[in-house]
Amino acid sequence: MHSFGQRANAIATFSLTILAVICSLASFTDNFNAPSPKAEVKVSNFNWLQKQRNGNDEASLTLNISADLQSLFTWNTKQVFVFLAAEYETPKNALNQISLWDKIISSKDLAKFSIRISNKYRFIDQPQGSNLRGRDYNLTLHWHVMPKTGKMFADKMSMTGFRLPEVYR
Amino acid sequence: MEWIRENLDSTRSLQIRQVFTQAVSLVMIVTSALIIRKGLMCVTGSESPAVVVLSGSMEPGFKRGDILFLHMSKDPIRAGEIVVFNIDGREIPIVHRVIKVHERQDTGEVDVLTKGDNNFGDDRLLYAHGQLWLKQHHIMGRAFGFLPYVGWVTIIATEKPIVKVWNSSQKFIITLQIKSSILAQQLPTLTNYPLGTMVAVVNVVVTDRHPFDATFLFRRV
Repeated sequence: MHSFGQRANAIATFSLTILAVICSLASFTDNFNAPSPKAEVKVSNFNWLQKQRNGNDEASLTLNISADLQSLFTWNTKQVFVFLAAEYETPKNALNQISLWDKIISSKDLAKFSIRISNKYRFIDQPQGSNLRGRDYNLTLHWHVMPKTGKMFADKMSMTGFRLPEVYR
Repeated sequence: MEWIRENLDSTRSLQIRQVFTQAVSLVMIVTSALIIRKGLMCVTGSESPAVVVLSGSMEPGFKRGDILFLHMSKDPIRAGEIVVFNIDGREIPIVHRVIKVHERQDTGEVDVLTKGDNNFGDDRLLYAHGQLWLKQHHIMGRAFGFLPYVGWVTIIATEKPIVKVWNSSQKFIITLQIKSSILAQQLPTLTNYPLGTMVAVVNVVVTDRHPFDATFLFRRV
């Protein structure tokens, strides 16, 4: 006869196996979702460009961000982390990415939004620099889909053709 | 006496067999766990292919007790990635998101700044004194997958009990419940004290999830 321990063990093993299979299936179904997110970012106002006391340039922008990320949500999506980064190249650096704003979207209803906000994180050219004057930069909206279980997804949308002013102001 | 010995002999032969089977199956479990771990290390290229989230600094994305799977690819690090990093002089690795990247033209060397999604400010307060950026060698892995709750097994195994703490400078008694092992292990001095010991806070250092968690330096009163 099977003892209580053996039965408990069999049940635990079986249920854990089923759970693992369901988790991987749930994560796998994410692959069938073909999202078509829309986003638009505009610099509605350029506030200022200054040189800090330590020599680094700092800029301040007011941004208009509107996006529809509802198609990113599936039944396995816990949240979408969305952030806007300024990306530019300098003589010394091949890439500079500076996060200006971010937001955690916890449900599909909240994934369509339009806001006007000045940069939440400081736009400072570091660590070596005063390279922001007249600098061309992209604004890239990144989104990271965090699942209830399984694999994480990330994608982005770049908006090009922004330029910082030639003089401090 | 004779029947006792007979009984004992017969059960002993049975037991030896049973014990042996159990020992073999235990060894099988341990070795298969080791095989999976080493195999994952090979595939992912990361020294620690899976970590347990210990603090709430990435909530609601990652909660305490969730498990993250890490890889360590050669691709350059980009903003938005969730990385696990180790600060010099700190034992516990931290899981946070990259918010700034500066990559050199010539060497490809990177300067990285991180922040917990649930924290108010960036991680400069957590870094070593005077450190402004994370370098490549601080980063142990980059998260690509996620499994909820499973890590609770290890958290429960290492959980520390409630400790009473007396703050001498402000003359009041606070009860500090050491919720996370991250905090407990940052307090090696505290684990030496038995439960309920009165200790004075000598120094407070903001840690992983400022301003809610802090490292306290203690002395016995």
